[in-house]
Amino acid sequence: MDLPALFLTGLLTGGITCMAVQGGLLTATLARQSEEQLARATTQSGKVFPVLSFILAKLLIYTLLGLLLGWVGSFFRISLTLSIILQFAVVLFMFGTVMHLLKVHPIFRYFILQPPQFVLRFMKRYIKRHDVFAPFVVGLLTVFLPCGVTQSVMALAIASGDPVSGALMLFLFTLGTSPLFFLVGFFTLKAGEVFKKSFAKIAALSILLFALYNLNAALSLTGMVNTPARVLKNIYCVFAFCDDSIAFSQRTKPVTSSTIRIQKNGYSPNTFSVKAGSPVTLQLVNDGGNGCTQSFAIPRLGIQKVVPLGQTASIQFTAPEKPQELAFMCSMGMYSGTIHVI
Amino acid sequence: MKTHHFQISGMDCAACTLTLDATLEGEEGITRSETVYNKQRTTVSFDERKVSVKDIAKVITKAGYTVVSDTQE
Repeated sequence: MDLPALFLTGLLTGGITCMAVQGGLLTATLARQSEEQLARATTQSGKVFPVLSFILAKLLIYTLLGLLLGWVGSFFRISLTLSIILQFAVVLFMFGTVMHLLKVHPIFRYFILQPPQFVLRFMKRYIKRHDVFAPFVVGLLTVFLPCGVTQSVMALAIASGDPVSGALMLFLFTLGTSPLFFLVGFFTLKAGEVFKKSFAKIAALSILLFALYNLNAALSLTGMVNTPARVLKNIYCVFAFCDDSIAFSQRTKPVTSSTIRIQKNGYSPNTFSVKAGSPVTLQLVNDGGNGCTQSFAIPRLGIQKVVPLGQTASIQFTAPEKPQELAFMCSMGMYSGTIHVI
Repeated sequence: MKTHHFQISGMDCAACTLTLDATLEGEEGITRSETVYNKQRTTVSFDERKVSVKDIAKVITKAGYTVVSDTQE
């Protein structure tokens, strides 16, 4: 997942849609703070500290949450089947969230994570407190109240299967939501359902894009070569010259061994040819991949190999007897390539 | 002191229960508000000399929700 895209998602849709969920908590907490401040005749600048402490608490807790979710996701990497199950579960969860945001049916509200009642009661009590740390504590507690877009990014963090990636994803997304939270908190703007209703569709669209991205990854993991993204790319390549188009790769000579460099954002080369029925040796050199690319898989042949950063590994297999295309990818299906059996 | 149940619609998140309760409890005459998200219901305890059921319904509507029905406890 493109990390800057997550920041922009937070900035453009996350902040607005999360405002309806969490903005009310911020303003309610600040309202109590203001009563105290008025008593002490302080100015509006006095709001900077409570608003910033709320935002910092959110950044802190969601980064930790991302770390935890990425760590949980890493356990799904141990087998290809678990990775596939996880990816499809993530897609289902995202589609459910989209349906909820578009109000397709009340049943979809069960796709929205709900905190236990005792957490809600605790929050309710805390909001009423005049404590100077109240905004920080309420900011931390928002982790129990993620909005639709946030919970989709949480699902992405699990799917990343890597604690650092998960932490970065949620940090950048939450950072993206921060400017709006600051403005709303600082100027005590009326935040509420108006925001939510106006932007629910935009939020639904952004989650839908995440869902489609992950659906493609899930299908890719099953060994499908012609995934929707690949088909779209091929259609695009009919009209535009593509360096890595199938036609180009099919012209390349079949090899019996190849060195694949594992990088941060994929594999190089990500397409090559082998002869049908021939033995093939792949040398995997990880000189830059610290995310899901470390876990290399060829689903159709049941091959999966984890190559940690800075290490190398070798894979031997016999190419299928029939000419076909074999997809290889990271174990989360996010980065892929094709072996042309000719 | 009276207690009234308001069946509402349009509530999409558990956090909304907190903000609705905070809004209602900020109104004069309302002593307690308890909103349950899954039941889409708000239970309000209030002093009928200071605030009416109609006023409470107005506050809920202003907060962005629709009052479907209301019943007295």
